[in-house]
Amino acid sequence: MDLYGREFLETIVPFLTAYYALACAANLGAVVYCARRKRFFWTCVWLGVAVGFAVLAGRSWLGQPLMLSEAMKHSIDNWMSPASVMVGFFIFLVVVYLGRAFFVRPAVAWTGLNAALLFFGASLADPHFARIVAKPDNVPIVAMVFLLGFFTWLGTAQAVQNDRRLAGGLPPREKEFCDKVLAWPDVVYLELIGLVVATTVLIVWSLLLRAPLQGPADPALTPNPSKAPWYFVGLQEMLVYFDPWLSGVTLPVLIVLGLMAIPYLDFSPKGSGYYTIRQRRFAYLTFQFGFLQLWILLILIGTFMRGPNWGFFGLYEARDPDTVVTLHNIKLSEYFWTVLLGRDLPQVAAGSGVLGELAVILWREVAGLVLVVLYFVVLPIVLAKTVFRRFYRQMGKGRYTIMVLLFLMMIMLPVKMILHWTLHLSYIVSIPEYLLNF
Amino acid sequence: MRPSERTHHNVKRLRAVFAVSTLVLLAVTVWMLAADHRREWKDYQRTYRDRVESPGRPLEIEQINLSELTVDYHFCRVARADRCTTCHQGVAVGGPDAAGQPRWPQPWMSHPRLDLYVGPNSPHPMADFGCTICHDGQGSATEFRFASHSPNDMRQRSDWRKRHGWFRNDDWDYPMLARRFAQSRCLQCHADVTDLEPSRRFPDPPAPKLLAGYHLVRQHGCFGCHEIKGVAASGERLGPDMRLEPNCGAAALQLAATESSLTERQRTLARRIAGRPDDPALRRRLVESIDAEELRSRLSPRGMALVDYLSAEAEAPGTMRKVGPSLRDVAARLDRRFLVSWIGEPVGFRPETRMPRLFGLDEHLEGPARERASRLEAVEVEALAEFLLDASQPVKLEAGWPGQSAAVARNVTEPPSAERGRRLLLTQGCLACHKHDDYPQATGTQGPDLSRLGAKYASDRAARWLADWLRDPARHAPRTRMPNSLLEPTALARGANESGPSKMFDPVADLVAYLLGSAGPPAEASHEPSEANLDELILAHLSKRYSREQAEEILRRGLSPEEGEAVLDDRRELIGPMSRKKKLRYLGRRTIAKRGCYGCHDIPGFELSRPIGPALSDWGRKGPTLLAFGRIEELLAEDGTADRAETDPDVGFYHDAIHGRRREGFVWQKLRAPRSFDYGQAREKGFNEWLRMGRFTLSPDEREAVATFVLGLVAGPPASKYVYQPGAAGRAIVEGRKVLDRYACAECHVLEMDRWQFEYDPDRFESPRPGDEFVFLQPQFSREQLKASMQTDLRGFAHAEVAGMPRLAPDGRPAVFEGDEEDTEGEPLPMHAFSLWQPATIAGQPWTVGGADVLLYDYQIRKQYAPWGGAAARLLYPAALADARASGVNLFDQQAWGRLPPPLVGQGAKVRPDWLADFLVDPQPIRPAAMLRMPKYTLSTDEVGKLIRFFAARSRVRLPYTRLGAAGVSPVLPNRHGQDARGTPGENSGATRRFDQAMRLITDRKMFCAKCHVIGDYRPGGTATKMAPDLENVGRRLRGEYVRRWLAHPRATLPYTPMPVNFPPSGDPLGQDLLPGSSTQQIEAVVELLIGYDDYLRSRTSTRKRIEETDHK
Repeated sequence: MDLYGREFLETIVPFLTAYYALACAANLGAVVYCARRKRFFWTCVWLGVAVGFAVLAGRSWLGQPLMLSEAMKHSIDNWMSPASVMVGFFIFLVVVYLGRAFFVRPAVAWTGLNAALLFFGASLADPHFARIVAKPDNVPIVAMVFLLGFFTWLGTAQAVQNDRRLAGGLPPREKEFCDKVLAWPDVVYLELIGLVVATTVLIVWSLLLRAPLQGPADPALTPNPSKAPWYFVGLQEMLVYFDPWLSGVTLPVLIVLGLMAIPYLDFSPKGSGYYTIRQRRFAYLTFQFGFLQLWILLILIGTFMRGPNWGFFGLYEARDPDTVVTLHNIKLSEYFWTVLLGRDLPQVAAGSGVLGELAVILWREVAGLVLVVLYFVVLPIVLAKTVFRRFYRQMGKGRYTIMVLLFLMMIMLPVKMILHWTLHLSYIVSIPEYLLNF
Repeated sequence: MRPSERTHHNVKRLRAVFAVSTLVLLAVTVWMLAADHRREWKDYQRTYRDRVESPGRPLEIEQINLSELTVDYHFCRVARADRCTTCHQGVAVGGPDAAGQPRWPQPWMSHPRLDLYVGPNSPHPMADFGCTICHDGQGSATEFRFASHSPNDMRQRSDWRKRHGWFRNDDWDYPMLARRFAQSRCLQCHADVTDLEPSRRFPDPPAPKLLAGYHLVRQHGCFGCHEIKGVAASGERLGPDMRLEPNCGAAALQLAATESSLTERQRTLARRIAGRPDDPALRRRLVESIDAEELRSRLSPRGMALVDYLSAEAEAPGTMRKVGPSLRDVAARLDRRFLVSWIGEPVGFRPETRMPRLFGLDEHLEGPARERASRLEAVEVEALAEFLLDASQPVKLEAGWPGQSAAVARNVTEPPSAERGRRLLLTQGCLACHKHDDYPQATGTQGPDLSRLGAKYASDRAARWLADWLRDPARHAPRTRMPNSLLEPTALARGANESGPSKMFDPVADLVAYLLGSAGPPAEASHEPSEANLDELILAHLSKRYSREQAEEILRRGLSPEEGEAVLDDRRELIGPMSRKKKLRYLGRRTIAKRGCYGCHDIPGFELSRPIGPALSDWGRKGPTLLAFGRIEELLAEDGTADRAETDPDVGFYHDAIHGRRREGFVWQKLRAPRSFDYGQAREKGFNEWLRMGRFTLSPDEREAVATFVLGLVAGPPASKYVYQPGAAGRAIVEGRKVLDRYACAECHVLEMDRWQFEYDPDRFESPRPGDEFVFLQPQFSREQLKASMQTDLRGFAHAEVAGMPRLAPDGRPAVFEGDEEDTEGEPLPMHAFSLWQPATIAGQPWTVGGADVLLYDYQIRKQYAPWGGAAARLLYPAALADARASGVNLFDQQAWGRLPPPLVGQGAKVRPDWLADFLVDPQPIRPAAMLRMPKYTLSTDEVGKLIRFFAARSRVRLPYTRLGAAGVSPVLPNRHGQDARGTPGENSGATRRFDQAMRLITDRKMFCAKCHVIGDYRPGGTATKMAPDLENVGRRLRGEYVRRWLAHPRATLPYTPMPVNFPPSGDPLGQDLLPGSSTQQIEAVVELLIGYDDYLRSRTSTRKRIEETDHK
């Protein structure tokens, strides 16, 4: 893909034209929808948006697609870092959560979709962005972003509605309307339509995009960057913060075990069969944070922003393998002994036995070990007495312990990330002698 | 309505959506099937079949299965399946261009070299070789864009993108080679490279660009820094092998020069090794003698290392010599001022020098970095000069050299004359290898340009050194390829009315006077580098090992002797106390080590150093991610290359290759501006870590040729049955060519004659009168061959090819005559006369050598293949002609060739290999009239053998040679004559009488041999320029069969010879009073005498009689 600017433009222009035309058509649909319901204000608004997209389509057709200004791209690239993206997304989630009643309104959501389409379209005119987004491997991830946005919106909208109904003493929407659905024609038609549409999409996809096959694997040459399959890219991102045995083995196993354990930990009947937020606040927030922030966002970062040498690149930056970023990695033991106490790290004396060596190592890592014990032993007790008092009472000792350990394990990831960005902390407990880095 | 009765959806709408989506699916399915059905190759096949073949053959994917020519998928090797012919339908068909019509366009075009490739009779038939083994690319693809075609320039690229949706597929490891590099891949099977030179079978050069690259690499000595190893550890041949020869010679010299404990005998032995470094026996003797006298313990550590090196035996050692001159005795000839200016900028003195520019390449540097470079590089240059002069080993000048005794030197009566020297430069053949501004027509590139030599060798000592060098170069540099020209004091040609003792002049003195006479502007004085810069550079070197404080301490005080004992490397120079000289010496050493000067030059103290550059053995497959492109694109945008890429197709191609991070672009930029990949990184890297490759003076075409060669180095030959494995004769030719190239033999000698192809109207072509000829001289053409020569093409023209030499005008260019035919304006049409050196069939008639010249109008000539070699002979031709005429010999034009280096066509069938071996090692004059002698080369036994096998293979004669078998005539042997040749010859024996008669004929000075030929101590009258070779040596030199053909018809063997026909094939035989018999019988007798001349003389001398006579006295 060594396209020149002109060649790139030639390639992207037909796609952008179709893209804006589709956006225009979607807004025309919204126009029809609103006109039918006699909402003249919104009819005019969407008509204006549709015209806007039509103009963009026309401009693309003429070879002058909408582009972000270089200054804008630069500022976006400069702003982007793992920390800013993670924190920014977290703030976004919080804002959306707090203002969910506002955000689930269709007009707001549609405005958001239009804004996203515009931003995406304008970004596509940038070769670096287009290259990473249009890579056949990554196209499903782009689709995932839009689909995930839609379904999250849908679920939240229903949950907000139900919360309102429940507050008003009505049963949830699902309970009131949906106790019976006809198999024929409703479900069968729907399923058939789903089947046909999915087949069509797959065929068109396969015709338009080349299969993302690469060259024969070369044992002497590792691709740079080497990326996991998209669904594991999130795990790969964790490798930046943890030792491989932890982020590659232990944490995935715990994630699976934790998901399996949910039915046995969570026995509340509330929210069964309908969407609600207010009744299941802890479950909802934990899931959304764990899924959107710690899983999906990490996949997006790994897919779109990690480049050669696993460096972090802005959306519009060239993926230059020669870009070198200085890394500082400091262990907690170094902070403790060198920075805090101003002494050298305890050294294992030559000729000391296994036990002697172990003692020195443990002494060296004493600060980290204490922290770990505090986090996994003391903190659950404190939580049981304070925030999680109700859970502790309801779940009993055993289930509470499992729940809280899993919860703490999940929270450990963002905590470690923040420590890494702010303090350049590599490991809390580092015992390379036994491949134990934590 | 109760909730349970409500359906959620409008069924009508559902049906409509279902119907629409089903229709869309149907449409998409049709699209899919159509896309799969309408493949572009079908259109191509259909068009081809409609236009060329009769239509009707079903369309199909055609595939060549090559189970042994595998593709390397890293984990396994997979059989190759080439489907290229699916679209390239006409590739194996001669096509319309054979009939002079325009070619088919792609993809139907026929292969441009069907004689070499694809054609069933070519060496690479398509069914056996397929396409992608040479072209690379994805052979199993059936679409243009997936076949990994590679555009040759930007226009093709944009064209392909538009027409075929082309894209660069980085995921295929073997993208097709752009057309400009197509020849690269020859190397994977033709590891010897010289087998790709034009040959008789393939006179059109098979791979000219690749060969040009090979010779450039060979001459510029790229292998001095970059190992090009073509032999695997297992002994398997991987590719061209151009490794440097083991440095044993230099190691032995260094040992002799630095180790005082060696005995005089060992020193002599070491000097002999220097001349014969490839002889393991000599090395063994030296090492054994050192061990025997238990000297090892008394050697320095470096001396020990040298002895270890000499005792190691390489499995398959390299064979290339270092290309630069030896600097072991540089102080004897060069002064500091010249050295500094030369090292700093070689092209300043010699614009076409092969020495790369190593300093001042700072176009890619900016601001402080550039300033730093110029400061520190000036120090490096100065230090280099200081070290070279200081380390230079003493030489003895004007010491006795073979043949130049003081008495001979006293014989010289004339003072040196630059005027004579100027002419000697031409007539002694110097211009075969060297250029000089005074002779712009000379093109030799083997040696350096000799203009302005006076500026280089400015001192008296240097002049003496030059004279000594001219007398015997090998004495000063045992591995030089410059021969000993055997220049001896010569008598001045005397005017008609001069008398008295002949005036003697020394050609060496004349040459020196001439060469040093032209100096040009002297080298500029250099600025002494300041102490601060010196210290800065030393600190930069020391910082690799020491902390800043330690380094500064060393700089102040030097290393203590105790510390110095421990170090073995360059730091030994820093053993205290410090001085400016020590600093310079240290820096000189460091600089040589850093810049790798010893890759080309023999420098004392660097005998065991390793090449500094990365190996190139498999560079053609090096992963592009391993190439450090750095920020080169920014530089190209800045310096305007990117703009030129728009207009210049070549620059566009390479710029694109750099843009796409491909090898082609890297090597191009590396050769153009070797250090530019440092752009923007000079600050991060230390001065000593900057790139250090020098810039060679290469033209863009030459750079592309070098790139073609380097890209062909893949070190991955295919299955051995595909690798070119010539037979014994082919191998002899390939190996011999390398020796010929090494010593530039083809500069003087023609090794392959001119070949002209022409077309003619067979009805109007005049054939020669069939002359009488001996049976054994008549050309052997079959009836079919003669008939074939009558065949005409569609236009009614017949075609023929002749090999030989065009008649030359006195200026050395092919002579042009006015023919009988006239053009439309009544002007006579120009024509050439062509002397045959090989029999030919033209218009159904056999044409013999030595007969009439073939007269050809210019318009008839279709193709002229230049001869291989002889450039210097042609350069000398006018001078030889003028000389001869000036000395009163009236020569026909062609006969001047007899005074020049002889063409060596058919040499193998002419001379005896044992004589040739002696001659190559110690050439003796043969033709008294020749203008210059064959110089004396330092050939190894191996090289002599290769040359002999080369000539034998070229002449298709067998080795080893036996007089009886190969000669075809009966030499004087006892079993033939029934008598002992050493015994008393029977006076009545018929054979002996025959010899006596033949001897009478030979010694007849009125009509026969003795008229012109020297015979033993007899000299015919007149000057040397009129004399013919000594007949006494004929038996030792020539093969009998050759002598017979020669005597029968000299011009049938050597068309330019002035020797007359003495034994006419028809009519009355001459000289019946001397040697009765028919001409054939006479020839037989003379041949037997000449071949058995020594035996005959012996039979005529009775030792017994002499003893008896002595007794009587």
